[in-house]
Amino acid sequence: MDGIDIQAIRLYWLMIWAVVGSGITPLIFDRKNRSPWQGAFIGLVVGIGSGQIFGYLLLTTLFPVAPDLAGWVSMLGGLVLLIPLWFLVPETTKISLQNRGFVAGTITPLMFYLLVLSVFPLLWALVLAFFEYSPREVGGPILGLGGDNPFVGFQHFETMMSAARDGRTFRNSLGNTLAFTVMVLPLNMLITIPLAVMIESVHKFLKPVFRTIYFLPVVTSSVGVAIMWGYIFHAQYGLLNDVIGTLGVPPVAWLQDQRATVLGMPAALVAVVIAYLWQDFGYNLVIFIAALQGIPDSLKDAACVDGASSTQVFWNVTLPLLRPTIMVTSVLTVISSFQVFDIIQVMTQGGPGRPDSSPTRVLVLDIYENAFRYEKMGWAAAISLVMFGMVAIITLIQSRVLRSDWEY
Amino acid sequence: MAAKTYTARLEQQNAHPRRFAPLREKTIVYVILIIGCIITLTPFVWTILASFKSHAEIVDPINRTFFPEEFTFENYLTIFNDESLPLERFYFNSAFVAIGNVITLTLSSSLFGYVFAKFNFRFKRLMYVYILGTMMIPFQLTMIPSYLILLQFDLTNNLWGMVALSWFDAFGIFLMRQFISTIPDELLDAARVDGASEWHIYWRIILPQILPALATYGTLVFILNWNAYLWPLIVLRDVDVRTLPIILTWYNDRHTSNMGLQLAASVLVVMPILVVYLFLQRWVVRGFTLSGFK
Repeated sequence: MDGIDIQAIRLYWLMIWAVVGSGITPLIFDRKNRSPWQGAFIGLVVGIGSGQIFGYLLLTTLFPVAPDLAGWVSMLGGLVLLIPLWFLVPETTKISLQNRGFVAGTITPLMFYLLVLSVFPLLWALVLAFFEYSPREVGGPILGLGGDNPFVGFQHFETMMSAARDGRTFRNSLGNTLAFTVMVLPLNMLITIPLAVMIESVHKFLKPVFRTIYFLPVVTSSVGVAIMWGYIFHAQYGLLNDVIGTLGVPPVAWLQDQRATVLGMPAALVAVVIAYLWQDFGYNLVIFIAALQGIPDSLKDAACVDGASSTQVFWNVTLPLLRPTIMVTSVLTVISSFQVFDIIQVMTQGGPGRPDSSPTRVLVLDIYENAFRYEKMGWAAAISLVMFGMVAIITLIQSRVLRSDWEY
Repeated sequence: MAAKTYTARLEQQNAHPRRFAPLREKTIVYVILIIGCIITLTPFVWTILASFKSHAEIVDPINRTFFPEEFTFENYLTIFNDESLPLERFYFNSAFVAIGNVITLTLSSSLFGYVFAKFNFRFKRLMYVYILGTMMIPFQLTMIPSYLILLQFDLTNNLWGMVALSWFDAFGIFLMRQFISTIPDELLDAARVDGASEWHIYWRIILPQILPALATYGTLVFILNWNAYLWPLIVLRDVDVRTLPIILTWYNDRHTSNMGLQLAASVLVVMPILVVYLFLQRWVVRGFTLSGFK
């Protein structure tokens, strides 16, 4: 951006919008307020913030198109936030003027965060999926799209189905992510539900002790977890190979050998599933414990009185009543195991083997590497869009299947 | 006869409202629970013990040990004396990001929660539904554009960049709204009649009332940010602004051959948060269960 001094322009915005904002706001909202300083302060902050941020955005987008006008038009950037300040508050309500000032003063920044930090990135991600984009390229006028970051239409989605290397890697990561999720979900449920029932049945002084211990891995940094388990699965120095060595089983190169299998599954995938389960199960466990505490004792007691054994009580009373909780936890587990990244990136770096055939290359790793290592952000955005779609569909199916009309 | 057993059972039930399982069943339950605890704790114990072993002992192929034969602080001393690894700097970075996020998110969430709970304004429903909807969107979808926004404002490689975008958290707003809805309107009206301004009410009445919720939410935000990996990995590229988890992987990549050093470094990163957890256990567990974060 030669020819204009951005710093100077931004300084002008700062002064102009600070004055306008702090002058206008109290006039609109705080006429009867004892202290006009409040309104002035809101206006000051909103005016400066809005002028700087939207002014800058306008300047960068407009400058390549109309360099002469850009400086002047971008000055209007400060209006963007001052308009909703005035517009959002209904005029005919019981709330006093002072109330309106408060609502306007808080909703305006909220609108701003919603637009800038949520709506805008979402739309941008949608748009990016149809472009070839790298922040290093010189792009067109709007958000750097166009120019050297050309529009490619559905090409990314065609690549996903093609035999190109990117496509194969993507399909491999999608398959691995699904396999990971399919392994994690039932195992997690099989561990946590019985364990929660058992913890509920022990003496009340011991309950918190068990809960504290089982929850410990959840609060542990996932990088720490990955390093601990990477060490346990280590081919030469690992605890696991020591243990199975004493049983006479030859050592397995869990994380390095692409051909090693355990029960027909690739050893590396099994290793990360175990590490992930270990870190994650405490979370569902405390949810189930809380749910079990919500089930009234009278129901279980009634079954007992009728002569049911504790196994029968579990299958016929507790489990059906846990159904809504099972739905919530399984949806959460699916969503979070779809997003698995930390443990795998640290334990296996998506290996062993090449990305298009390795058993632990997962979707988020694919997104991360493409976006931030190879700077193919358009392609990465397309993958993340597909991931979002998959998660949404699975969540929808789960909530249909596991829906229950039970009340107690 | 049958009726008598029935009454007898009923009496027993009344005497012990919580069912007492037979002794054998109880023993099995305790054994399973204790085995579960051992499995949960073994990785921690094994890592901590190994961090006190010498390198030679860890890699010894024949004499495999669980407890260190020769207790040594060598690994920790190497890390503390490493000139290229200013540990206090990284602890500061992590604490800065975590505490910064706690401050911005507790304040913004409680303020927005208050507005959504107690006021009416245009598009309120639409905005609230949208906010709840954003909880379903995976972070990976907005990660790339968020990074590009930070890049635009030159906030990458900057600790402030990790705090700058944290003014809006859907779950926080939802949680605070739930709590603030339970505060009776009469209390707020009484304060208004006495001439308190809305900011005054928020600061002096709302905030003290929802202190338990704030504590729960605050500890959750702290732990999640302290442990965060993917987002800092993207944003913080220079070594001296990195937070602990990324510095840990960076350090380990430089010492791939020395297992003991890697494990000692992990212990140094993992331990502070476990200590925090043991002290604030109640808030932490509640925060996690309320949230749906992992």
